[in-house]
Amino acid sequence: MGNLIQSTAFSAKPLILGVFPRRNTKQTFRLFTPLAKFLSTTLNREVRLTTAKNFADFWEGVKTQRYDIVHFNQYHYIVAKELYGYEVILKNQEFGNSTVAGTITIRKDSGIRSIKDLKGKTILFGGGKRAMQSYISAKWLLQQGGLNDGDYIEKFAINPPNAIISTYLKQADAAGCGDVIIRLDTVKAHIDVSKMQYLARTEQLPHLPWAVKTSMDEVTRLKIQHSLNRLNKDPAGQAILDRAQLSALNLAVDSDYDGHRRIIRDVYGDDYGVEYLK
Amino acid sequence: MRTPYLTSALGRQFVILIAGVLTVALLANAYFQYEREKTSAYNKLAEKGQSIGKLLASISIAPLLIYDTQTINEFAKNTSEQYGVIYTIYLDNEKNPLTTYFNHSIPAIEDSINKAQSADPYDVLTQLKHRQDILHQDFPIIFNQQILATLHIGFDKKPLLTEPQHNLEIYLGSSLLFGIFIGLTIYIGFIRKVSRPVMALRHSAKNIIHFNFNEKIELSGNNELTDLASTFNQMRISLKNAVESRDESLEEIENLNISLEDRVRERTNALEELNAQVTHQAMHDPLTGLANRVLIIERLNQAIDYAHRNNTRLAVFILDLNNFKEINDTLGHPEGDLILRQVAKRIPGALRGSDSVGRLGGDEFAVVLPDIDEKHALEVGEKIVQVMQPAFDLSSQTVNINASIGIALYPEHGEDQAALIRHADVAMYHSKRNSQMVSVYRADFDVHTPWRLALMADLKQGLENNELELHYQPQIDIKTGQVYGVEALLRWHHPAQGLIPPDHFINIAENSGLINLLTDWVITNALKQWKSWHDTGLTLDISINISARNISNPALPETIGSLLTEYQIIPEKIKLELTESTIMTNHDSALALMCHPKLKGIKYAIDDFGTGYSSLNYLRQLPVDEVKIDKSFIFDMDKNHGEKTIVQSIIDLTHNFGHIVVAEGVENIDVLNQLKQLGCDSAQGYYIAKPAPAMEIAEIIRQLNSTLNE
Repeated sequence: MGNLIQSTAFSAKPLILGVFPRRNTKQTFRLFTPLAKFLSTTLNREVRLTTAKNFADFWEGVKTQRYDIVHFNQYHYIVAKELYGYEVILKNQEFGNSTVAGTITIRKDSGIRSIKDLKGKTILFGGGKRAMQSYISAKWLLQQGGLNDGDYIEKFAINPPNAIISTYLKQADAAGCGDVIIRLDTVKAHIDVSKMQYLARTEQLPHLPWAVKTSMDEVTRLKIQHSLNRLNKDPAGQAILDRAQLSALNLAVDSDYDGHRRIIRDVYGDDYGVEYLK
Repeated sequence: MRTPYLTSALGRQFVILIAGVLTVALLANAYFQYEREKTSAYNKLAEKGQSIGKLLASISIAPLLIYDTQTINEFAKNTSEQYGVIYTIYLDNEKNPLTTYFNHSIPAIEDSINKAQSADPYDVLTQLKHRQDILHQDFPIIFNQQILATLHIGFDKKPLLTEPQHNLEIYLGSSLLFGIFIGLTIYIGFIRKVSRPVMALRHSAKNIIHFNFNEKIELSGNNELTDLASTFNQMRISLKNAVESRDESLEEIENLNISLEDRVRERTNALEELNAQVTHQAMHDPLTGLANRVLIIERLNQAIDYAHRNNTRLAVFILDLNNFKEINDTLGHPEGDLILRQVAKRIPGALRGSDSVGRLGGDEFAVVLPDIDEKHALEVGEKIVQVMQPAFDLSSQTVNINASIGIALYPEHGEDQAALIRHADVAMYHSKRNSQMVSVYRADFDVHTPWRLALMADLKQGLENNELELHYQPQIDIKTGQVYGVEALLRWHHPAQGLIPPDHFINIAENSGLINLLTDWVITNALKQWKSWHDTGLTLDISINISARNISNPALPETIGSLLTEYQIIPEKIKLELTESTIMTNHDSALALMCHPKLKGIKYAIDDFGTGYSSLNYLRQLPVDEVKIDKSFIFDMDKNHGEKTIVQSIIDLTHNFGHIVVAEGVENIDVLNQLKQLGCDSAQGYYIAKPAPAMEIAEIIRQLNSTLNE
């Protein structure tokens, strides 16, 4: 179970803010605690930040609708919207971009020129099968290139940067991850990114969503959406965003993620491959 | 006395020894500590490396499995940030680096990169692994028996040495200070406890070397050196006493030595003088100073040898004084001796320097004239006659006396000394019988010597007619004054010539072969007389004279032995006298006789001792019991100191050989007293008793024993 920030100053029932374990627990709390406090102040209601050690635990929280506010990836949102009553209100803007594309990234000196060249090769994905950019989008790109399951070796890195880094270190022939990964400082610090290139890239799709339960009252939903959307309007809010490693939180609606829905269906079928979320 | 510390050889050696031992010990210990710490640090580093590496390899499995390169990188980064880690490299099985961390502050990294000429971590790692100053440790990361990757960690060894080196410096510094302190402490202790006492002992020893015993060693404390000093002081006192005692002894010895040297020098001078006298006397006639029979015969032999070698001639004179016996009997022996001395002085006046003259005995002289012919020999004979013509001065009168001279020439009258002398003697008798002064030998003189032949015949007849008689002269023990024995002396009562002394017929007897008969007669009668006296209670020693011709008579021992048995005579009471010259010229025969088993127990005496030339060793070889000093030494010993010295010498020497000494010719009380003072054992002579017939002897002895004891 995640850690809770408790406050007794508020009389209303606390709101649970769940953040998916994109990063480790400690880092997650460090990044998002100011935002949670901001929401508490703004809503005059206790907002408890929580996360989980892994996606399975986190997903249990989604499935049980324990989170009032939840920040997760696009695949989570599509399934949560479909099955567990969550509605997107905001989407991340990172590094100035509010969209992101899935990629197949290779070493420039790998000799690989097309998706077909990856047949029989090792593809290192930056996330598990519920990872939107690092797996589903990348796998969709492979499908688009003509490679289906069994045409290549699937390997999974602990996270997208490691997929890139490991590929750079010749531990795999290609990495599956978002296009933003290669621009991360953490990656640049380890490898010479100039020696990497995208072999294939999806269209630009909205970034990670922030959603609230559909059962949340309208006022609260709007306060949350409005206050977070305006964080980049003043230094204090910007500081909160900076802490959360975000450029801004842009307004989002469910239809923004239709592109994702299409890709997911292409990869997993109409049931969105929910078995991968169990 | 104090010797500066560092100039003391012992102290200097001790300092060097201490410094050397301490230095070596401390250096060895420091080196040991340094090596131990270095090894320990190395082991710790190796353990640390193993610990880090194993842990890292262990926790790297999961990140590797999920391609969490960032975590791997984080591990490598964190590991590399640890002190002493030079590099941390993960290599996959194809040697592709998963992550690489180099500590570029370490020169070895840049050096290896330069050598590798590549930025590839594997190439750099390969270069690094050639370096010995880095501890390289590799850890394969294994999962399900598959190596996922290999972790390479390098540790800088240099920091390992920092602490040991620092400790080494501290240890060396502290050891140096400690060593200096210990060394100085020991050294000062050594100087105070050992060196100074030793110096004091040496100083005292030097004093003792220079015989300075008065400086005492004073050391404080109670240890071996103070014990030694105490012992040294005792030794010093002992030495002082010993040296003082030695000096006193040396002084006494020096005085004794001086005294002894004086006595030895005195004795040596006396002995040299005595030896010269004895030698002279042995070779010369004591009465006349001329060569005696032995010497003149020796010179004759030498002259014969010379003449033989050089084919020359020589002459031998025998000179006999006419009527000398009558003068002697009438005026006494001393007067006769005066004549003989004067004759001895006159004869050389007629001779050449190369001629020799000697006294054969009695009034008979011999002259040896080498390289001379008959004519010149006769001329010399005439000259002798002439020098004899002046009257001879006696003590109270003068007498005229001439001589008869016989000459024998070599080689016509004989080729050896015996023949020449005998023929010269024959010629002399020829002169005497014919009232000639000088005669040269002719053969007819010898064969037809009526006098000698007559005397020889008379002697043989006398033996048969009992014309011979034994007289006995008593011998006394000088110390007790008692008569203990007699000497048997032969007398011949010639029907026509009256009493003839032995000197006149013994020679004839010896030359005619009658000597053995004569000696048998003497021995038989002497032993019979002994038996007779013994039967009357008078047991005496009897001395019997034996001729040189007798000792070669093989029947003599048998004869004596039979008589001893026949008359039941105690052999020890019989004493056979042989003259010194007889023994000298017949040594082997004399020795055989003395040692003959038939004569066991019989004693022997050397008669006329001093007239011959006998060596002491020579006489020592003979079983002689008694030595009779010739009367010529005894006559004047109360007046002539030289004679007395000779007698003293003979007595001492004879006693040294264990013999009894008998003095012959004692004619006055002074001589007897002196003989007593000189330690002479026995004496005989006219003063004691003249020879007398056997029948008178018992009375004479009774009177003597009573008179001499008064």
